[in-house]
Amino acid sequence: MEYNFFFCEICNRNQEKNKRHVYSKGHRKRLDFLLTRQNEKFSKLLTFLNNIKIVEDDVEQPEIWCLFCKTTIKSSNSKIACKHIFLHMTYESHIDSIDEFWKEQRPSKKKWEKKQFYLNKTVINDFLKKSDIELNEYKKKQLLPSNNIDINYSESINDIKVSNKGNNYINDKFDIGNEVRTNSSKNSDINDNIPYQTVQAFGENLTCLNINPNQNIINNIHNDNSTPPWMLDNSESESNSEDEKLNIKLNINKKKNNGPIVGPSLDLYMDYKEKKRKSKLNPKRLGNTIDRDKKISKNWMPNFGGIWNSGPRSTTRKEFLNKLKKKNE
Amino acid sequence: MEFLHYPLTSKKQINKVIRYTEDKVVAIRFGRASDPVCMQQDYILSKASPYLSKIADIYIVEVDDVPEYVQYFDITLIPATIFFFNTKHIKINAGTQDNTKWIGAFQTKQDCIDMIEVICRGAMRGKYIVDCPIDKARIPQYSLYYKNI
Repeated sequence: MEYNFFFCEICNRNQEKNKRHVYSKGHRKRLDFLLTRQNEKFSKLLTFLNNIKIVEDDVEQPEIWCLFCKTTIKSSNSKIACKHIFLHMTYESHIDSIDEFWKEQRPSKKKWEKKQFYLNKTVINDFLKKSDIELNEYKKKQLLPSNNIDINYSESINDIKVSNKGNNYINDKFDIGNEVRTNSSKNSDINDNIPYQTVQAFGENLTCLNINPNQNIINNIHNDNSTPPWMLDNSESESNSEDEKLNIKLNINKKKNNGPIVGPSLDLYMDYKEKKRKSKLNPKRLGNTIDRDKKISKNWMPNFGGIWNSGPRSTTRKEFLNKLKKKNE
Repeated sequence: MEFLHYPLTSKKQINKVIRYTEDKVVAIRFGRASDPVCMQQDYILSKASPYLSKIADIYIVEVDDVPEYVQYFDITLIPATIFFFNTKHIKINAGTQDNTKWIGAFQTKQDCIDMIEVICRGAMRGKYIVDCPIDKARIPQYSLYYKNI
């Protein structure tokens, strides 16, 4: 059922559904207020872009609300002040949501520009380079003061001894190097597409398998964004008796009775019963709408482009022109 | 333990089980039949399975049969029990380093039942990660070192 009203997030109340509301006086006023506030926040923090400051404790990092993405920008254990905010401002998703916001709210062209709310990639790259240098200097400075501390610190880098709260049984030292860290201290960088893998494992009474740390893994369970292999596999190799047993257990390829049927068949009735049972379950449960027989190849593409997309023709034209530009480059 | 649980021997069979089990938790135990901790895990799973028959299917896999999946699931300690619901992998927040699987054996039958029930309820509510209901003292402890983090 379609309702005659919608919830306006700017005015924070339900409004009648029409195109005029965005241009109404109250809405404009509130929109200007929100944008000025966001702009103030960003411009204040942008001072740290040129004056890189090192923060010792994560608590000192500011957390601000992003009006466009509707999320709080949270810090990610970085020692450089406001790094997370600058990174957020360069994300494509952030720029997309600014575009969407502009399209919906249509702020006045004289007052506001999209540029005010995002950062270019060149700017952020410069910032990251500078901040790396700054951080190295800071670390060196920390090492300098007394020689005793220096020795201890360098030792601890060479052989990292990781001991978690409950794991008292690891008392040996392992030569692992700087790159190995525990799961809990996960850093979030932008280009972090290589999934992490276990190099060493220890457990009470547990058998450890042979691990080959030099294996190059493209995809594993720690990579959340990829399609899992059980959804990709479509190879229909020969099936043996065990596979058929499994098919029967899982109810795949139900054999249908081809003989003359009088009245409603048992299969139909069972299907109906199954449907009725499912209608009572939570519709939002995991994988409710999943299509199990859908064949997904590795080159699967969600966007068909062109005339098949919904929305105005101008957007598809823009997309097409952008693609053409990229090709020519 | 093949007489207690349904054994899966190939990648294809694992794919099928994960893909075609509807509205039920799939628990797959990766391990070796000769390993004593695996035996304990199998024993507890077998005791719990009649109680869980409506909400879960339990399978066992020999690690040496499916090296691809051992690599994909990053299995280093056995037994490792991995849970799925409607093709989705379910993570468990037990305060241990690895939340993608349950490493080690359950200590009691009730722990196993609780765990799988929580997973089923969570997944029915659309959750990809659930909190572990088991007391901390009964969670097996281990430590892992990762690279490329």
